Amino acid sequence: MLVLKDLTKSYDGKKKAVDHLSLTVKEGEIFGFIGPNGAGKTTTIKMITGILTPTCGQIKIKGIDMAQSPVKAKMNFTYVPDHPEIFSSIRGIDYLNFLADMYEVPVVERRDQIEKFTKIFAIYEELDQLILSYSHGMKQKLLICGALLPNPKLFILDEPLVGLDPLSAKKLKDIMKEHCNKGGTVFFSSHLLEVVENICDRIAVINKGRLVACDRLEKIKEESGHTLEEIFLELTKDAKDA
Amino acid sequence: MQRMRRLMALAKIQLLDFFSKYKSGMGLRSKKTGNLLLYLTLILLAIPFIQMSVGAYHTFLLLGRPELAVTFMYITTVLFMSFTAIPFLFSLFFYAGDIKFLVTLPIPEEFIVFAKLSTVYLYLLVINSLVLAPTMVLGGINFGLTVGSIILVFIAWLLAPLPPLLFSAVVALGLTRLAAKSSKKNILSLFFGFALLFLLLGIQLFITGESGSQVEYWTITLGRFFPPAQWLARMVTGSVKDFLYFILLNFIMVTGLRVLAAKLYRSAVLAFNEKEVIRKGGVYYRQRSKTLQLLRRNLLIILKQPVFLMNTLLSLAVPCLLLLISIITGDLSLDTLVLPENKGRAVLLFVGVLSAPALLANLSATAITREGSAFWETKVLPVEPWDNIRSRMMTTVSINLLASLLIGSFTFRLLRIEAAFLLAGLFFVIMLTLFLATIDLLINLYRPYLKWTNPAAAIKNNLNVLFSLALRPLLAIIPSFLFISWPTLGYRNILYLTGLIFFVLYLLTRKYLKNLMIRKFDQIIV
Repeated sequence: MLVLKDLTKSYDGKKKAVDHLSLTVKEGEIFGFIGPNGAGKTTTIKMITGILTPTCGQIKIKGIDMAQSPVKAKMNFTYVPDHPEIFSSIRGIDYLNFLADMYEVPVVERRDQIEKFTKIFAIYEELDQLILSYSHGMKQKLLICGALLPNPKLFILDEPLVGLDPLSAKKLKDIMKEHCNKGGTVFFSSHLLEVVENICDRIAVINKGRLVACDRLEKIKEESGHTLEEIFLELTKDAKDA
Repeated sequence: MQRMRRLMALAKIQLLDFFSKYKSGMGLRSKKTGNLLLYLTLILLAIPFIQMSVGAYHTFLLLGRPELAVTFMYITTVLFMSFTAIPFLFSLFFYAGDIKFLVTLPIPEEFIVFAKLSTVYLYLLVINSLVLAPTMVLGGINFGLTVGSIILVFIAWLLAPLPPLLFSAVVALGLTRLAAKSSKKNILSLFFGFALLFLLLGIQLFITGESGSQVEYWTITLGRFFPPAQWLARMVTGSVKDFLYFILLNFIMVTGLRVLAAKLYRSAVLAFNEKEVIRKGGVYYRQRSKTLQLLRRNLLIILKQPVFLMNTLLSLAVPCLLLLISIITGDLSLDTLVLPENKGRAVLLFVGVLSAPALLANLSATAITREGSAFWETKVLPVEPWDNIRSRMMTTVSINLLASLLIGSFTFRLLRIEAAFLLAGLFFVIMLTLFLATIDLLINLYRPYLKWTNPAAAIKNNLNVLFSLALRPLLAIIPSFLFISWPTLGYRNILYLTGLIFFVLYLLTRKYLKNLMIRKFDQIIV
């Protein structure tokens, strides 16, 4: 579903924020992307989603090259950023209709999807309010609903649980699992190791822009004989020391 | 002492923040060519203001009353400064991102007010240097320079922005206090911007339209109503007594603001920042085309942000206000203009007014910048970069053409323009609007500047706007060249020919935008 090949990003031409990162995310799996602060997680996600242009390397989404056919590639995924900074002088429903038009979701389907997800996340009653009156958590929920609305093949989330209340966090985790059970794919970054441990099929650990581990969690744990926390701390030891 | 240190620390951080953002907003880099371009643009823009100041001095010198030049220019500068300061204060107090952080600090509220004012003061000092200072320097030279008078001129230069700044602060905070609970508070800021603009243009036109003796009479009369202008004028001639009056006035105003600041701040700023629940209409499910949705989004970014809206409307309204005031004050006689021998002048005036929205509201120069931190949204969406770029161009074209049509329909009847000239004028304006909307966007693509924290910084501290405005006078070369080379062509043909040239320039710019700038658009770092 998602293939990253030698993906590199340098902002200043010298220091590499992401350094020759290669990984493959298979269809139907929940893929956790973890690493310490400043490791390059958000930069990687921004390159996958087209917000940043890679310095070099290749991104393929469902076999479509992001550099060659960005619009076709983008039709296959949606994205929830770590900060819900969106144009907020419109109402929640305007935002969702805007996204539905962008992803060409027919009216009947968008009605069902909007009602379903906004009711799950308890923001349906607030859809006629201006987004600028929403709390941080409500904005985050609106973004999640917007990203789920086109029923994307690949669902990309950057720190999605930040700002969500425990009930909403639980619902999102359930939706992520359900999405994968239906053949969808989830790629998400998180600092919450227990969440990654509970729901991910595979994980990748990134440190200083480089991939330091990528496999099924059970396999990594089995091989090392440690918990995920111990493995994470060991793999990213130099980040702490620095 | 401890309190003063905290105020200084707060003012320092505000100024550092202001300069850092101003620098990044201007897009200043270490490259020598970039800086040279910046200075050249600033000099180009400063020249008309300095000319106005020097011109006013010479007018009063010819009247034998050079001391009145300072009085006249200070009255003008005060209006100009207030017009600039009030929208800036609205932006700094009510839409700046740092206000929520500042209110949590253990500092008195008036400190926040004064720290914010320090950045506005710098702005006004620049205006003062361009509009008032040349008159003061010439006046000082005329009255004989002594060490004492040089010091007084220097102090006058430093102090001159304070009365309008303090007045604007009380007005901005006071008006917002009145409207804080009202949903119409944004309209209030719009209204005030318009009222001040009307006042500024009106007084300037009124005075310039009068004879020399009338100007003298009005300056003396206005000076009586506004004694600081007289004090400042006498300070330039070396009067210590007037210097003391001026100092006393500033002291009283600062003390007054100190007393009022905390109360006004609490009731205005905090109430303004309280989130209100606004419910409009109901939940709907409607399909629209991607193009229409993108156009709608770009339009709403302007219409829903009061600072952007006010700036746009003020830019669009200037030609209308100028025309209206000229007619009201009798500076422009309609009866004379409609005479057959003045037909050419009427056509030029009509085309000038019609072109004003495209020339003054350079919306494309900040089309990407205005999105700020929400710019990532359009990059993630499955939309072709060209459609993204085009929707921004079309937003500018729609707003400017709509304004031109509204203004045109009003002036067309007023000036009794013939249908043939109307068509030629419309053709010219449409082509000019298309070209400017495209070339301005090119400037914004080269200099996107998305990391602003208050909306005024996005559209005012932005060097893109200056670059875009600096381009406008160069365009006048085309019709002037045609007129000089082929004087027999006539206005109508010159309009068609110039329009055609603008159309070709539009096609070339569009081609460049489409072929090369898409990569630039993709590379904008969010």
